[in-house]
Amino acid sequence: MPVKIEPVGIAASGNDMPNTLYFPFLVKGDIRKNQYVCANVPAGRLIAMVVEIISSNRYYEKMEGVSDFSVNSGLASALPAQEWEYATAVAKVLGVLGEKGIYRSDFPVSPGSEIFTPEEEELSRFLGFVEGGLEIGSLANSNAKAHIDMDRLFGKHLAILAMSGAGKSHLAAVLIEEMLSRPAESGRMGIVVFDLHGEYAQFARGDYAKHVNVIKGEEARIPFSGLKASLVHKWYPEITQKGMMALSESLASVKKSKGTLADLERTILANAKPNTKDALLPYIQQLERMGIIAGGANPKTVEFAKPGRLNVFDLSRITSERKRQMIVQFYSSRIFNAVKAQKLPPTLIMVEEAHNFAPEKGRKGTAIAKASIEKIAREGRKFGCCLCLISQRPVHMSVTALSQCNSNIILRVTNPNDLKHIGTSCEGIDENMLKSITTLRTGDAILVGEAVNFPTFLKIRARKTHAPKSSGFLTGLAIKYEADRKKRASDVEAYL
Amino acid sequence: MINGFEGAFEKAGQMQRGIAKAAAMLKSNAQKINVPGSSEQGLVKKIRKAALETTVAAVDGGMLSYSFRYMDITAVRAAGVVFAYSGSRLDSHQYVPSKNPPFESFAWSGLEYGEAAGAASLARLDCEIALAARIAREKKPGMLLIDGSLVPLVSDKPAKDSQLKPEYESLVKNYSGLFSECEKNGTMLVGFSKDSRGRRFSQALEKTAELEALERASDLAVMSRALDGGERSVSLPYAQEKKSSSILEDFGEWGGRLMLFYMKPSGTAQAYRIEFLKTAQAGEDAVASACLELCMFGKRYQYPPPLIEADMVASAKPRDARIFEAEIARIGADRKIRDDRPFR
Repeated sequence: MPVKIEPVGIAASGNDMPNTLYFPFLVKGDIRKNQYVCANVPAGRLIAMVVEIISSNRYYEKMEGVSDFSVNSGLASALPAQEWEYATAVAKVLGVLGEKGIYRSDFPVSPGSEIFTPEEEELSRFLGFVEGGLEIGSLANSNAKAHIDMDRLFGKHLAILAMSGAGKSHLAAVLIEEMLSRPAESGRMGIVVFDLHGEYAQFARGDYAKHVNVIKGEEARIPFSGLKASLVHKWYPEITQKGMMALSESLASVKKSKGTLADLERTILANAKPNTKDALLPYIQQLERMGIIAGGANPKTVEFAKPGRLNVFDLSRITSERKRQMIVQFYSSRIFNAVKAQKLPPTLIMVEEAHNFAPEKGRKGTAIAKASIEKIAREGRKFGCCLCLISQRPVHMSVTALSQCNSNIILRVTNPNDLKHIGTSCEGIDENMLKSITTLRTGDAILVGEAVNFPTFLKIRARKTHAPKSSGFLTGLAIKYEADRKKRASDVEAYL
Repeated sequence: MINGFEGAFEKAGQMQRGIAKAAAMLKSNAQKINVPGSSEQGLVKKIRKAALETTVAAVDGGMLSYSFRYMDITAVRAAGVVFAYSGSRLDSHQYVPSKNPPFESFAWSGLEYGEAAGAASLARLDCEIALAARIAREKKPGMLLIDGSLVPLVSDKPAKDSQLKPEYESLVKNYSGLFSECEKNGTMLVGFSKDSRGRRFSQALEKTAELEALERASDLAVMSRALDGGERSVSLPYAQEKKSSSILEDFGEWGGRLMLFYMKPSGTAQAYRIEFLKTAQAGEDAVASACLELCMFGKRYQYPPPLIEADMVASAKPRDARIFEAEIARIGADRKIRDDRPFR
């Protein structure tokens, strides 16, 4: 096993360490927090992660002394204080990489042992990276590329959790790039994204254009033939039992005559009892106004049948929350059923702002898509229908859905409630990692769960495709607004 | 007040008041009083300020000492630093022999009760002075600071029939070598004492100024009160200090060239005793100017940084003590009964 010659530290003893969980070491080389280090132990190579680094200098131990020498130019102008600076680090033991696999550490590192930085190859093996995996970035404080096993990352669903601006969409885009770049022989999934902000429509304009299908949300249609009373009840749970019965009867008769939504309205108007009629018709009329029900589906399920293809539902122009929910509910459910029936390839469904579509608590009728998402979360993995739930408010997300996401990529989160929720719902996150989440820089992430053998700090790579500009966003909008206004005024003037 | 303590504290209070009164008197007559034995006029001199543009070396020692039933074991080491100053700012530094100097260990058996401390002290001094001589010879610094006196303490001199006599003679020889190197290279050799119990001035002034309070007062106690910041006392030859005469006679001609004065860097600081080897380059004023400048780095703790650093390097660290104790345990030395008692 190759070993880097220069050690980065020497294991020390003190404060009841080294033990089987932690060991302290004197830092001799370039060491950073969350970096992986290793030591040779009888069972193989013990791999650990630096969880804290403490700098010390005897000259600066007493505030009084620091203050005393603050006249002139401070201690450094009088004494070679830097000579006395040293750093100690505490590393958390992750496991031992032996000839036959990974073992739990059952005996501490010997004080005095040399501490090294692990070779990239052994680190990859230890963390569970695979050749041909999704290269979403590199390990933090290392050049080692993170090639994540697609099966492990999505197989039991993935959650991307971060506060606004921490890089969720960027990460999602990187994942999409990796999925679209996969050769057929490596196994390709279909990808469906419910895009609330129009961020992924960009894929249709770059290198991946031929693999991308953007469905404008306002053009999405639910086929009248697929309309059932139970479905309408999901959209409008406030419809009464009597209303449901009337709807069911009317639907059956209109479908028989191959009618439309307008025919349904007319049928209810003609046949239903006055009270029922008054209670039911407003919903049908609302559906008509929405324009979402049509003779045929748009898109058709068959459009999702090509593996390695990205289908983006661009919902950014839809202002009605109910309409968005209906589209997510209808199509996620339809895709799941089709994957289950093996009419579609294994499919990854990415849901942006997932806390809106699968909230833990929500008023009746506002979380229309929740049941569908929860169902996929519970049953999807058996059939190859995988979820990637993206949220900036994990505390508001359905516990059922989130707990089924066995892999989590967490970027910066500062809200204490969200942090607490992440701490309790994500396995493998310890107190130290939870603290680190608040200080992650944009693009830094922690990957925990099924996808890797051990929690892993990552630096997400840059996008290969054009990324929408975020800096100067407001300025751009303001300039555009004024220019449009000016143009309108001059047009009016010219007309007059 | 705890019963039985009143007497001592009352007496201490009286002494303090007496010293303060005597010091006040000396201060107000500082220019009128002439100190017997001094070649300078008056008692107090203003120190001239001058930027440091030289190299200043310093040497200090560290020691680990253990006594057993039948033997005494000591490990000593000396550390030297050389600071190069430019415009009173530290430009560069180096350690001699290194930043982690090795210990040298000694074992004695059959020492008389009380001789053990002297043996350890001699070993440490010998180590320090040998290193100082080496620095003077190899680095030729502009100034060389020794922590403490420029000669051994009276208590360091062994009795005539002591087995430590050869060690003492070796030490005297090293001192002479140091003095010789410093003179040859124009190095200002200075002993810097912060806790001297010397009474050279008090003895001289006790009679001149007819101050009874000075009879048992240490010079530092008096001078800390009599001097203002940036002032020094006039200098006196070391040789006239009665209690040191038995030591100085071992140094021959060098003994007559050792001088001392007291200085106070600032109003808030205590006075220091400065001993120096008088040479063509090292007169009172030059030594005082350099010492004052060296003390001005701290606001309250005014002590020469090279000595602070040398002390930092030389002092035995807890790890050194652990290793030393482990070695002692390995050889199975007989511990003293008092160290083995299972209580307190």
